[in-house]
Amino acid sequence: MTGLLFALAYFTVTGIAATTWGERYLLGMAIAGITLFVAGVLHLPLIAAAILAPVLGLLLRRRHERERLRYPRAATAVMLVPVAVVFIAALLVPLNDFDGRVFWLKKAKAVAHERAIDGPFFRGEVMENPRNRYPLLVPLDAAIVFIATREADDRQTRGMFVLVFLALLLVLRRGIARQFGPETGAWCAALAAWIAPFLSGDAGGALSGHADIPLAAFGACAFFALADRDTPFRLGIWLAALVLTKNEGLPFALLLLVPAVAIHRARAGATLVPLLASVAALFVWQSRLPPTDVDDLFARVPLLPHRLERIGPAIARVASHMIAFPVWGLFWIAVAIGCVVAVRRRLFLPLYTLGGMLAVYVLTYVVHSWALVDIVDSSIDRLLMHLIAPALFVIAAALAPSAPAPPRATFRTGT
Amino acid sequence: MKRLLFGVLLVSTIAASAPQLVRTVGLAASMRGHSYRERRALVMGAFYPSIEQVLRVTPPKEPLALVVVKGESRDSALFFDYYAYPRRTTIYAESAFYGIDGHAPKAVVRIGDVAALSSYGAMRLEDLQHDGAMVRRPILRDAGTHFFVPLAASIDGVVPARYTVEATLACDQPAQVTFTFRPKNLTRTLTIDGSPLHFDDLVYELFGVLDRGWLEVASTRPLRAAFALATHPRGADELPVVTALPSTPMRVAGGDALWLVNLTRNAAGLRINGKSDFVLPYDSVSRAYSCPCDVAVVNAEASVYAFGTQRRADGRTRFFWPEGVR
Repeated sequence: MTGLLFALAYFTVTGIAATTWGERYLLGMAIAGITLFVAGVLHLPLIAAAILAPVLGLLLRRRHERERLRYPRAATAVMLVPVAVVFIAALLVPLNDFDGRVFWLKKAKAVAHERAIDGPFFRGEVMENPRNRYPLLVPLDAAIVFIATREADDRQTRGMFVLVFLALLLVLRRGIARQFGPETGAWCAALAAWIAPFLSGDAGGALSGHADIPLAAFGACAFFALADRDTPFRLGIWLAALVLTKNEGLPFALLLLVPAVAIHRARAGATLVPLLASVAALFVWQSRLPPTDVDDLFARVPLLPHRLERIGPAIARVASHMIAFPVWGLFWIAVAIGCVVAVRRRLFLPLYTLGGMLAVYVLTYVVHSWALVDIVDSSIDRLLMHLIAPALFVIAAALAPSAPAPPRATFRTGT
Repeated sequence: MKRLLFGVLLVSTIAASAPQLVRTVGLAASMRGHSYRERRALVMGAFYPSIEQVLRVTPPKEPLALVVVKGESRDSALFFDYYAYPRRTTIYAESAFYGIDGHAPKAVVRIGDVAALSSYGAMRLEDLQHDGAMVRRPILRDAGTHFFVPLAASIDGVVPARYTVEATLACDQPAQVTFTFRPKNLTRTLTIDGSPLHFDDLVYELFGVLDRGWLEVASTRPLRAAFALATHPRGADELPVVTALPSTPMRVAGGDALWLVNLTRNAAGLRINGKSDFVLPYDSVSRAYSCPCDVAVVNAEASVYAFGTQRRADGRTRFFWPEGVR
């Protein structure tokens, strides 16, 4: 409980520049994670960086208009039921998933213990560190909680992950609401709250220690920052957070950078500052560590022309997961219908984001060294979670109870 | 209409996730009233308490070798690491890899269904037994009450080769059998009470050492016995049961290494193809001779058993036993 309260307070304060609580929490995680990562690469004290992060967050604060979005209580209640269940479960059930223990929180323990991101653990001198070049934003945030509570045990971070899930839902609710109205936003968030993969304890869900929900959350923040024409620098922070959260975050960020440049034009330089800083820091850090134990997918890209026969089966396998009722219900079928509506309404941003990231994932499967079925089955449901914001957006456009045209459809044709 | 469609969509996701959510509620409810440590044991079974036990009984700074039971997943070792951090550990996918690591931690933790302190020899034996015996149907020969086996070993070769002596001993009546492993002079006495004794790795099972030498066996009743040098995973070659001290000179017809086993407590002076040599009491040595070789013992109070060996292409050993020796 101490870790939960600390995470709630620390990340909310650090993200004070954001308008709503959900976004504040995520912005706090982003700023803290980015600050600690850059400090780690520069070999600056991580504790000092953890103290500096809220100060940086405060400097980003600006005056914003009071927002009046009144959400239907019924929708909020429907949304909170599964959140409450996973919240209580997280406090009672110890971490039990593979990736959380073998990858993410083991790294968090090492950061908290060594106070460095390229210490003996990351050099493989203490024990095996599988996926030793995975981006570290989530482990760094968890390490702050470990250090603050003086206990490097997952019981202190269980609540932190559920709060990310709740923050994601609130960001989705507000983001959709600002485009399609509060009722639509509230019901779409309620819909997202009941999607099975988000609730799982072993496949990237809120009860696991994965970084997939944080990636989905930062992706949602970046997506809605584009849709709302938020400040370019804020967008840059979200993109930087994507890059430092998971490997998939880099193509996600680069994909969203294109419409950012189209929208902000000359001002997009402010987006590039945090993004390029995080990319440079990531590559410098990775170059210091022993080779990772997973595929170097960049090195495998030249194989693409020789493996084109895998594209069809890869798409088919991905599609079979999307329509698996016990996992997604009718969600992706609704998204497909929503995409048709989005095309007719010239809502290109969600189509571009969905299509772009699905193409990235399919092409990754094509060049990956694993057997196609194995790699798709073990990852696609997690990867699809990343696309929750654009997916809900097209559903909102097509199927939501009240779906007026976006009030200022700033991204309609330009992107 | 849109509301209806959205309602169907919402109900579909609730229907998809409800079973999982119900399971989560059930799991969470089962955790109530337990300490966090007990909850981990409830979730992970006996594995978590076993991790705690290993960490408790070993010094905090002692590095641990996590040796995975052959055929099992390494995942459990990775989980062990998670709870053991910052303890230094090295994971070995099976005991063979531990055996060839010159810098391996001394403390060995067996990682299977549970984690338990173990030893390399014990894990090695477990792996060998997992693979099964190399000799499927041993042919028992009359061995009398006192005999020698000129080669007894439990050692590792180039991975994956492992050498052991598989043995079967039988007696129609209860008998006390004393095994002596020389030149270390380790002794162990067992009773055969009707059913045959079988060893997959005689040297380690009887004496708890990984070493090479030869064996002296004494029994209160005549035995029937079969011994073989097993070259895992290739196969096995029968070893002779020597029931009488050999007389010299003896002739070894082939081989590119000549083995000399001194069966007595006296140093043995030798002449091998006219050259002088000697073997310490009870010792066993190999010499680089290209046989045929004629081996003669110079001093009468010593007795030496000589044989030749040649490495075969498949990694096994071809033996050349001395001519005219029982």
